[in-house]
Amino acid sequence: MQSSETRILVKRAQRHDKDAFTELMQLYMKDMYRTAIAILMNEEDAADAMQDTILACWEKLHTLKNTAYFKTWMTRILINCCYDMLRAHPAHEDVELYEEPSVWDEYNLELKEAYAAVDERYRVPMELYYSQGFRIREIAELLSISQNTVKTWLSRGRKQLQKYYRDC
Amino acid sequence: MSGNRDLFSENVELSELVLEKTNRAFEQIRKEDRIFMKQTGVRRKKWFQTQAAAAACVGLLAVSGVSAFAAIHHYWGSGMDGMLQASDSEQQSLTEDGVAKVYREDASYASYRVSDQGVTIAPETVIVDEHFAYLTFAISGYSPAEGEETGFESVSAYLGDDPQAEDAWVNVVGTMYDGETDRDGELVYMIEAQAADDQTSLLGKTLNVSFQGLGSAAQARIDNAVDGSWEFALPLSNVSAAEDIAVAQDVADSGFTMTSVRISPISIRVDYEVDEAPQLHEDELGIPEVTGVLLKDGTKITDLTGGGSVGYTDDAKTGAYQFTGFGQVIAVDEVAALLVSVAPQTQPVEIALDR
Repeated sequence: MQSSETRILVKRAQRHDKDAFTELMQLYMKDMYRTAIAILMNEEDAADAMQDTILACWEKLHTLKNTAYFKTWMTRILINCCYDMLRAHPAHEDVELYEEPSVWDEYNLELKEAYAAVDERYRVPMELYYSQGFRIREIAELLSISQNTVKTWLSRGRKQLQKYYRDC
Repeated sequence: MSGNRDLFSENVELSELVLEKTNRAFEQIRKEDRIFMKQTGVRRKKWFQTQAAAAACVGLLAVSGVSAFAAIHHYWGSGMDGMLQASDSEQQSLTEDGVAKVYREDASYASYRVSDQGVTIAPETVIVDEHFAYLTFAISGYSPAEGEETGFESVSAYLGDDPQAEDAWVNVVGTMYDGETDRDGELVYMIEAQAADDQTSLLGKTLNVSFQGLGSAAQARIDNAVDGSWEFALPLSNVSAAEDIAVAQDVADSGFTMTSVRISPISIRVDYEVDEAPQLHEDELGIPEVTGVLLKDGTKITDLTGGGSVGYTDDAKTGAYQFTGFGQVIAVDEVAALLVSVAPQTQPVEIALDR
């Protein structure tokens, strides 16, 4: 749930108040970034996904029926944008086409290195649960998986992360 | 997770790249004119509707007379081309059928031009169906500085004669055509209008459009170079190019049965029956949504749809609907199947259209 101030911002943004929309999205920029990085593990792609998400949210905001769920709604759009990018650029998984890390990938290196030690499918629920405070049920709905699967993935992700820290 | 909790609570730093791209999105939004409204407080209104309607009858006769001897080659203009990507043959057929109107071809075109402060704006092309209308306007007499993004201080619209009426609501999205000019060196402004609900048809209605203040949109505001007002009352065609198709097919893994489709070159409406409506998850109604089409030649056009509305038609939630616009003109006869999304992150299912 969001604060009443945030819900007022959502309502103002739904009435096409551009300043309110900008202020609203700025509140979630770092959460958006963390989620995008957890999926894409690439600064440039994360920036593109965030850009697409901001535009998509502005485009579709009038369809949001319950302002209390703005963050969940926005996060779903972001996750879809990220997976669309992964589908559109399968070359990321092609070793021969793998690009050299850019200067931007030096940002938040500790987070990226730790995430690199965790399977992608475990990273996203971990990020949403431990960092952003989403509930198990909400994560299950966001990722279209069962609540038991979320719990299993959180458990496996924790183990992978613990191993990473042990080996460091 | 006590040992690793810092990873999840530590502050992240947004790189210049992330800030640059996200700021670009905010800037793009600031330059967009988007109003969902029934307009109130119109300052001045140039009611040339009656005169234009009378002149249009004369124009129609004149054009019809000419067409008996020499076919007119209809051209929708670069703005509408860019917005709807209609082929030349689609432009010809939809204009001939009266679904689209090219204002330059109208004998009374001069009466549609509105001038204020040395800037003249005129409707260029309008294409309409029950739920959506796409309009382009040509702007002459304004020369943007090099590199300037041009925009209006406000753009507003309503349906019918009374802006206060409940059925005056219309959703409007507008933007300048890439800041570029058409073949006559004029700026082009594009508008997408959408019916406020599934019960409202735009066909045969009068769409009133008002532009205020034209200037540079390079900053987060419009720096008014021209403090003008340009207002239009445009009678929309009452010709429908939509095809009604009975379907009666289950949409896999959804519990919904698609019962009917009404598809036009620029939008679609589908209706469903459902025995037990899915639980509402936050904002998701769980109603399947058309996202693309499969053409008879095997071409799949995905991510075709945008805007519109989904909902239930009754309190018991036994009937549901979706109407949505197309991002490009579709040859209705060539559509073999609909691509229907049942849930996020799943492949759409195909629903064949058997005529």
